[in-house]
Amino acid sequence: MGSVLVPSEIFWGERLQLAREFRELTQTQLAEKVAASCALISLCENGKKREPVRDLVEACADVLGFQPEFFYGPLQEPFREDECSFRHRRSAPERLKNQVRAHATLIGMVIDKLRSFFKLPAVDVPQIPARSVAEVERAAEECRKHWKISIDGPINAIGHLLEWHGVIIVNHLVKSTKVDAFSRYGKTSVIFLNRSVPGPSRWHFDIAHECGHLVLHQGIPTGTIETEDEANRFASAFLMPKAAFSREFKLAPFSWSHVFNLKARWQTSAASIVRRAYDLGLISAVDYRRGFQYLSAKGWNKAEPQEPVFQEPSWLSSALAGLGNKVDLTLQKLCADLNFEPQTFLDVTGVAVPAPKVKLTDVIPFKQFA
Amino acid sequence: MSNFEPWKKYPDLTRDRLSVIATMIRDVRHGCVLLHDPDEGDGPWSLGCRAYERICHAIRKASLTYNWLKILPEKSSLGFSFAIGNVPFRFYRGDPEEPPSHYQSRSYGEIRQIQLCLALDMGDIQSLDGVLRLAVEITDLEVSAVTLVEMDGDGSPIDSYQIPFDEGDTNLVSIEAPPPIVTPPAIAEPLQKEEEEKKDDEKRERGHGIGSGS
Repeated sequence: MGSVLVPSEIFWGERLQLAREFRELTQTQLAEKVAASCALISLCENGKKREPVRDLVEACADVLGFQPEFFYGPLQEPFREDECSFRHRRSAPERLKNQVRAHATLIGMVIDKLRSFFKLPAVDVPQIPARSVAEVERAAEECRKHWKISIDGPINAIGHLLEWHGVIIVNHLVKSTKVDAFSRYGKTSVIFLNRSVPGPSRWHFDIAHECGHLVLHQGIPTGTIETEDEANRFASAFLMPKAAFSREFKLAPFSWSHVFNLKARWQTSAASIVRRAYDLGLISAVDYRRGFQYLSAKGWNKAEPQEPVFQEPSWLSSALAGLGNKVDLTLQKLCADLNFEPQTFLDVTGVAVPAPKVKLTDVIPFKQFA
Repeated sequence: MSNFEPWKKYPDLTRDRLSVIATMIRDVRHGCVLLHDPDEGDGPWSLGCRAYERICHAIRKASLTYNWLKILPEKSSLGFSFAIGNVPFRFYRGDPEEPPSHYQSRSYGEIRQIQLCLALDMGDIQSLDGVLRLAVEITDLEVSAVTLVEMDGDGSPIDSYQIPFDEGDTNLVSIEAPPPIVTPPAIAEPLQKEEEEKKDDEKRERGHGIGSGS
């Protein structure tokens, strides 16, 4: 941090806010850490303090894990609240949601940089506004048709399917079970998946739920009970199409062994299968309630047995793995270009930046001391 | 109770569809009779239970093969009803003219099916007034006749039709379980520079030229 900072761009308060929210700090907490007033931090963030002193910028950079240059120049593609959807518990605090959105914006920066070196499939998500149950069911079928996949087969790798249509799946590293998934539609479209919530069948549903938001709710504020229900219905209909699922469900009487056979085939949780059967009128309300009581008593609402294998998202990991061998850009160069500290790069992507090799000219031979 | 042709009143109940179900009931029962072993303690109760369960299973399985056949959800775990087209049914063992009392009223699944038809304006609503049953008659352990019985709302039989066996092989659509959709991973490939792309195009063109010449 000792070098003199000569920024070519102007200080951008939104970047400070982004970095602070990523570290889940309040303005007061950051102010304390950098020995400044809360008011000053606030002025810097909302653009009223246009040129903060260099040592303050460097202190913020040091505390937040970025290079001071990070705070200069416009933020190209911030993930704004109205572009984002969260699948979360009602108890998820606003601060946690801000942190996830900040994390997503930083991942967006990484992807945007990688886009200059790697082919990224164009975003191709159909826009099908739907509100009623019948409309949502139809939207799920239309989405399958748009992507030219069978309208009634089980989808074995929903993450791969979305990545082929330009939506990058990212394992988000926020250690909280209060946000299951998050999505954003834009030039860089991503779905964040919380892997700390077990297990693969639930992740499949989370991805399909976020896909539902991307298809149904562009330009519509999400997070309401109605939009969440619509996205859930979309996910059910997309993963378990009505006709095919009904046929197979009716093959045997309602029993857990039958439900787990269906789980192995449709790759969705037993809970979502029971719910789908109820929604389609294949089981009665009493059976549905008893089913969920049993699920809960067995502890399957937290972790279900007989989980399918999760098909790992591949675009981002393969791009990062290809740095330095498939393209000229290296991990160190990418990290430096983004003005992230290596630890921050690790926190954002989950990938460690190797330490730079020490030049032999910097080493003083022992014999000089002799 | 004669000259009743169910398909005239209930267009979904064609002769061949009814025959498929009747034949299935007969054959499944026959299979159970073959397994029946009184020397080992089997009695009428075990034979009846096995036959009932197996017939339900066979109809469920057949609903995968025949697109006109569907299973209706019931509240009771032992209750079983199905629909041919939109027309709900249950079956019982006994005399067509004397349906057992607990088969004289509609089950939950049957009522639900009729409500669905009314809500979605499907089928001939007038024709859903009657309660329909399949009466399975047994002689010497084997099925001797399967009769379609139409009852009024009070459970009194008003018409019946003895279903012929082995006539149901037309108007069938076989449905196979659709295969899973497998998508390969999306691997990030490096962007090609314009010059490289041009070279690739040239190579491709030359390659085609060689191919067509040889």
